[in-house]
Amino acid sequence: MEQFEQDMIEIDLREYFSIIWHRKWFVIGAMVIALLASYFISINITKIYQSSTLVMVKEDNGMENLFSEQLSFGMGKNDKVGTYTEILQSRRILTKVIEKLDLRDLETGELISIKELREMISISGGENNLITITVNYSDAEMARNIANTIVEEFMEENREMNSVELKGADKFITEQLAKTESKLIELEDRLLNYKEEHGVILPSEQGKVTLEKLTEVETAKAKAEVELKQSEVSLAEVSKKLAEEDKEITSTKVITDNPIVKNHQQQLANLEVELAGLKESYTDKHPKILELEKKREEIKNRLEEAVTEIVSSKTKTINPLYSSLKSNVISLQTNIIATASQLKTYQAQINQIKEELSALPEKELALARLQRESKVTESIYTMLRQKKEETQIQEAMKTSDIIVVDPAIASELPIKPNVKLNMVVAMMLAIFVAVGVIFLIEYLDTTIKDESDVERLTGLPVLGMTPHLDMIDHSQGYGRGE
Amino acid sequence: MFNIFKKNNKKDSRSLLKTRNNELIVKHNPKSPASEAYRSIRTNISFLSPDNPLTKIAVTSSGPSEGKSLTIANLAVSMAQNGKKVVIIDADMRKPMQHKFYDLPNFEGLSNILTSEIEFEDGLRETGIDGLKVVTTGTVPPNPAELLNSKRMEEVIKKAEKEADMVFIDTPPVIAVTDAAVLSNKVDGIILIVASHQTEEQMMVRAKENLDKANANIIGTIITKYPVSTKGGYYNYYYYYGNSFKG
Repeated sequence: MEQFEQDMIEIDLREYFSIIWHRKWFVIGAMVIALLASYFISINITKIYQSSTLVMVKEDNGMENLFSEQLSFGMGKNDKVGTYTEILQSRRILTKVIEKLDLRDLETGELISIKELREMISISGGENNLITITVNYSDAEMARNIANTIVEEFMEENREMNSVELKGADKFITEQLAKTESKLIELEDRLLNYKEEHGVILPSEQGKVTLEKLTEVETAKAKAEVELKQSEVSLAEVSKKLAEEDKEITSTKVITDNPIVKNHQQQLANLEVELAGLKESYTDKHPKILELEKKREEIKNRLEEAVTEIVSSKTKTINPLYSSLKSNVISLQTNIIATASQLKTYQAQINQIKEELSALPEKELALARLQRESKVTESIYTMLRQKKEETQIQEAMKTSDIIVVDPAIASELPIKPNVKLNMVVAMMLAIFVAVGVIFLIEYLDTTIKDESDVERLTGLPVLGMTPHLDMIDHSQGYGRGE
Repeated sequence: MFNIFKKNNKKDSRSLLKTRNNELIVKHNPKSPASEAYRSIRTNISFLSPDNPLTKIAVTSSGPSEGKSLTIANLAVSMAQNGKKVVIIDADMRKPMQHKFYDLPNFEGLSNILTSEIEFEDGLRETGIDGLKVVTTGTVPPNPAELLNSKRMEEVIKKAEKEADMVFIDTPPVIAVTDAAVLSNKVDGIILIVASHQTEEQMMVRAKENLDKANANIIGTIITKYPVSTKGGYYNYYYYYGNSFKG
């Protein structure tokens, strides 16, 4: 029985093979047509070139990063790559790319849409902080340009965002510098005039000392004021940038009202007073003063921590792109609070010294005031000059936090169409279709094939089978016959 | 109908030729596998009823051009070669064929005998092959079925039987006309020709039904035009030796 079944299968396979074999020219013809068609279609369709560039996202290791990592359970890094990947294909960047490269539709001649461009590029950010930007375009050079321009535009954007607080500060300092300069000139003129009018007046020894002290404190105050103002301007700029991106940030009032912050602020003010008192009796290098200064730094640090906590908890999302902005907010807020308490101390000291001064004679007092003012303005001017220099250096140092590892290059060979692959696929398809058609024909062919059909349909015995005479070689014999 | 790569029209053009003598494979190529196939059929027929041998056999098919005449001719030659006396009566008055195999004229024949224009003996012709004689159709009459159903026809068959050991009668297709059904009662048995890859299954079933209605004794079928590889060899033999008679 088993043997019989095996025979059946064998005959079946042989039949299938012979069915295909009889129509082999049909299969071969279909293959040839498919090969030719796929070849000619493949070489005639638009070629697509691919260019890709590899960029690395720098890890920033500031205090801000420590915090965000803590809060997001170590997902901060990947999050950054993910966000950059999204931003790389954002409308903001792509619009700039289209305009810069003047990407136009070949048929309509209009600028291509962002959607179209987005379909041409694929950006994948994996682990290891690496992002690959791949561009498929019908022109090899343009594909390279698109890839590189996307990265350039993104770096530009990134740099701008990172240096936003410096911009505000720079503007403020430049303004102040001009003002202070004219004020200084005016004061010097006035001092000169006064001296000419009233002759040379020498202030008393006591007045001289008091005056010097006042000058010193006022200079410190003025410096603190500039610092405060600069911080406020920077904060405003950063806030504006964040608001543009729809990110809420905590207002200064909320931070100042916080009891911990208030406490630190009070401590800081007390310390300043104490420090000022000590400075009257000791030099700057005295251990007591150094100790107090150290303590002041400590409190400042604690204040910063407190502010960080408030800002981090109040800011809704931890977006890596804005992490630098956020760290700016924190340091600026801390600065504002610290400077504000400093200012208070200085103001108190100034008032005290002024009282002492009022005891001096009229003329001496007027001269002293002029001298004092001129000195203060001069030192402010010097400070501003210095600050401007600093800001410029800082701005120059601020860069984008992505590095181009491999810039895109123009490829010589198109990636699409893959002629060989298309031909292989077409050939396989042709074989499948041809075999399918053959079996379909065989299935639809209801003619009688052999004795099994006859017996199945009529039950009549088959006396014999004669070959198709056209298909037989009559010279081949079995060796019988006459 | 889906035989895309087969040259069907070749057959028709050939039927227009005057002579088809070269198709007598058994005569011209006795060693050909095809000749062997006819001999095999001859043997099978003789073994059908050894005690009461069949002597009058009609051959028909469901449709035209399935190879009736060719099979009869070759079978007859094969039997003649075996020392038997054979008479072929061509009763296919729709499409006379037998005379072409032997290069005979067809001016007088069966129809003339049936209408008593000539005697049977005058219509019986030599074929150039020992032991094989043939009665051609003769003038094609307007009413073949009536002629074939006549008493004269029975007499013609009887006379032929006396002349030979074996009588073959070539008939028109059984579905198209009633001639074959009419003749089937006047013979010992009828063979149904089936052309491989040509005869539709339904046509074959109808052919058998028609013959059954006429109470015909169908002794079996012969499959013709079986496709084989031109290279010969094992595959060839597998088909028409291995599958010989299974009745």
